[in-house]
Amino acid sequence: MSHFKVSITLPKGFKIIYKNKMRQEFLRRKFEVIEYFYETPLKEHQIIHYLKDVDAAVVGGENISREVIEKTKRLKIIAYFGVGVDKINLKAAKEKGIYVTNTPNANAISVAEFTIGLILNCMRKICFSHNQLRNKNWQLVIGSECEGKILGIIGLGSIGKEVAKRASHLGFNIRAFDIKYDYEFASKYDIKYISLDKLLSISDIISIHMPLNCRTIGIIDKTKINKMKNMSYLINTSRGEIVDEQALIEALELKIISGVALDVFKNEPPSRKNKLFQFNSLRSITTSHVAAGTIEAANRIAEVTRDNVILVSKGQEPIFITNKK
Amino acid sequence: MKKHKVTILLPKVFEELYKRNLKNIFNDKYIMREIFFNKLYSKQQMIDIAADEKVLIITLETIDKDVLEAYSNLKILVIYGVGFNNIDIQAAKEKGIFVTNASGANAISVAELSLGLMLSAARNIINVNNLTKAGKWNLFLGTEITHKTLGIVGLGKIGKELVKKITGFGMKILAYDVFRDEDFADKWKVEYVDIDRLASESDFISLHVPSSKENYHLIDYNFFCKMKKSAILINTARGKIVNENDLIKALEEKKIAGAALDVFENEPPSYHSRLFQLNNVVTTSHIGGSTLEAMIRIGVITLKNLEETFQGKIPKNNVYKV
Repeated sequence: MSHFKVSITLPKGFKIIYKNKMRQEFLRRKFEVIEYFYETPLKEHQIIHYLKDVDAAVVGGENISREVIEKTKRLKIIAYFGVGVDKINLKAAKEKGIYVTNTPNANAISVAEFTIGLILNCMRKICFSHNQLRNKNWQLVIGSECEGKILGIIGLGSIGKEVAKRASHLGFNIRAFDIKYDYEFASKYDIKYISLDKLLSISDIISIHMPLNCRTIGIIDKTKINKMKNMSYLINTSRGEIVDEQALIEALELKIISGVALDVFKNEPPSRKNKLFQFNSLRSITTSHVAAGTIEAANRIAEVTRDNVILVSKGQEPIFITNKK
Repeated sequence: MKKHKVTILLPKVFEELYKRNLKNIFNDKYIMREIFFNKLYSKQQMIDIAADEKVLIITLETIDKDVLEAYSNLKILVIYGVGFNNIDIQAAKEKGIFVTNASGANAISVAELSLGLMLSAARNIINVNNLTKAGKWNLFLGTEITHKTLGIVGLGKIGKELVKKITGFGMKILAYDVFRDEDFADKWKVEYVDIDRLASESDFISLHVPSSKENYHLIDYNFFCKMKKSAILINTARGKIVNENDLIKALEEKKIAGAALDVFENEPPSYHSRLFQLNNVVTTSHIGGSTLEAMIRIGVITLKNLEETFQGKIPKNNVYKV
């Protein structure tokens, strides 16, 4: 019998987590493992190279297109190391009988905490003050308190709820927009569901926590941004494509809003010409898709991903299949 | 009724905020002399501008025995803030000068900044922001704070506010304080411990004690050696509570994982300090109480203290017992 072959293509930052949580178990089970830890996501021909002859593929942020999937010969599972499987062609995988799995909830706490960190950074200008001081400039800056302000959460799913739990104790008045309603949760944390337009027009801080799909792509466009209060902040730790970046740049230039904090972008890594990176830290805080990046979340993700690969190697069905329907 | 004269000295950065929100209220009741400075006044400047004043409102200026000697008419010195380690309270008391502050007015702001600094340090937000601005795109793994242990040194107004605000993170909370508020501790599930246990068991340590003789260099090398190697220190209280040289040593020897500091032993600090070179240290320029909301709250308390003084009462916020 030929060995069960697994390819691992992940960002370099996950190498240690992979080694600690997954590799040993794979080797103990005599899996044949090929690994690649990258600085920038792989191009299509590189992905094909890794995926075409393996039984299982553990992938990070690469584009897994129909072309890639059709070139694979024995692939049974694409185990996405995280939650958002929007870069994987789920339909093409389904047609070939390949499971696409993710690790829902594993990073919700990390993303929520990072979001609160970004909110506090906007309100209190922490980055700006730090950078001023490193430039030998002791300058008092005046911020705003969170207590009593309105936080609008767009997408009250597992991450939005973790944000809400924390924000409610910070004294925020919370409003939410979602297509699904969880009234029990909302009443527990004194959250009111309102329309997206209303949310945009009354919130002091708006935080996006929607998945990327055909209904959410570009939903925060110029018209929507223009509805925001001019002292407000927009936080995005979900997916870059949900927001029209050009409209956001214009809103910042025209001071339609106070500022933004963005962990995600339309193109990742973003172009160096992207103007969102050219505002100072009072207006724009930018980070490199690290909201889920904690040791704790990575360990949880690694455990689920490892177990799913093992299930498939035994001919069993994995958990958290995203392309079942 | 005769209007009294009041001199107020505020940093320039507060000018707009003052004019927009407070100027009218103050001018309604008093004849105001408003000074907005770029650089904190020296002792001599303080004597020169205020020798004859009855009422003086200040922030962080040094008002020691020499300065107080020069003030022949001063009835009340109002601190537009909370901390008063810049004032010789004993000398003021001997001269019968009231000294008031706005105790508690900035508790929410300081507690929020403490959490902001904690998350900034745990998640490396500032470095990642600066890296992306420089065109770099790297994955960085930080640590979660949820379910970790937070040690609060000084469970007074600000420490308690932090406990309430951080409840949503489900942290285990240890506190060290010479006074114990068992009711509060019970209600918010805070465990009082001695300072050694707090040092050794906490993942994050946030300081909220006032600056005093007893607290001078309370956090020293010995304390850092007891801390977890993965732990992070947050100081939004006063710089003199921490021995800065010991902190630098502890950071360089990797006895602790990082620090986030809003206050320094000297302010402005010496920019040559290695604190400003280490990339696991977040530093801000004493902005803990610096929010619009706190400034307005302090304004309201200040007006009350002035009113009480002019009514011949002892102002409620007088910082020493008469």
